[in-house]
Amino acid sequence: MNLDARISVLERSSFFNDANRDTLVHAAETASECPVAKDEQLFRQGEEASHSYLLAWGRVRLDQTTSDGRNVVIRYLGPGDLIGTVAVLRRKPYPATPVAVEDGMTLFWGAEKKAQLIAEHPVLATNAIELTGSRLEELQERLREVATQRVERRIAATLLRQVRHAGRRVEDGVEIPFTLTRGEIAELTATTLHTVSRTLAAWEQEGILSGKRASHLVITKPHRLVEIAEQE
Amino acid sequence: MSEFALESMIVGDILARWPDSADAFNQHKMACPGCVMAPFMTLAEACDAYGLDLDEVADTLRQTIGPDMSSQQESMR
Repeated sequence: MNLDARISVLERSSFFNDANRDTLVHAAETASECPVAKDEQLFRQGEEASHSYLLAWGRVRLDQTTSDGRNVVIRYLGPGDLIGTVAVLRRKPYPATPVAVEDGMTLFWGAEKKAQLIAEHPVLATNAIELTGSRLEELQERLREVATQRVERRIAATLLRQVRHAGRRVEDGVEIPFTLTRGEIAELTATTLHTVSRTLAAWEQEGILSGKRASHLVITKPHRLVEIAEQE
Repeated sequence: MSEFALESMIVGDILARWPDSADAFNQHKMACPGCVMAPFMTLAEACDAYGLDLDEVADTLRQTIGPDMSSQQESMR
């Protein structure tokens, strides 16, 4: 990528909201590039946080392994999202493992450079707080759902969150434009694979969803799914 | 007033362009303002989902957006 291409990637990231030209140029010039192939890990949970990444394009799943060896999907990340930044700034080991679910490209900065960038451009510090705040809010929302809501409602909310981050209008509805297996939906919803399969099958029967497009889910009755997510 | 293609516009775009339009949606008890699906559905599709008459909703919207309409229309050309 040339400098302009990098800058346009940065401009699409909320980490660079309200950043002026100087900030963008400085960040673009100090970044390195690293392509990431499907199924490749950017780094591993527990490793020393040496680099902070920004996903230019592609999609990444953030996995966390529990102490008893179970895998939990924390969230999905898309273009413009930061990866590993909080760990770098806190000088803590990476808390999770990002795995590419499709081929992509990242820009990355060494820990020192990232800290320097934020120190020299305070707007980035404000944006970092905003970003961590919104991730925290989303996790709180999920925790509240797990504690209080019926499982259908939680599954609907999980799908709507993917739509909010990456949804795409297609001919027959709204597509979640990446592979999302039933097992992953189960992990994101804190329920069992069996429950997800049963629920999605019922929704397909009702015409709310369609799984025709390979493994990409298409929500054919978006309004109905919102109703399910909001029902008491 | 010349015909403005509100009917085929995306609900999220209507709300972004004319924030006051939220009133019109509220009047028809449509939960579009703030809805995660608003950026993906046309006004026609939203009305269909609610079982509402598209022309009626579009009329309310035009009344709410009102005077702003012609200037917006010009700037879109």
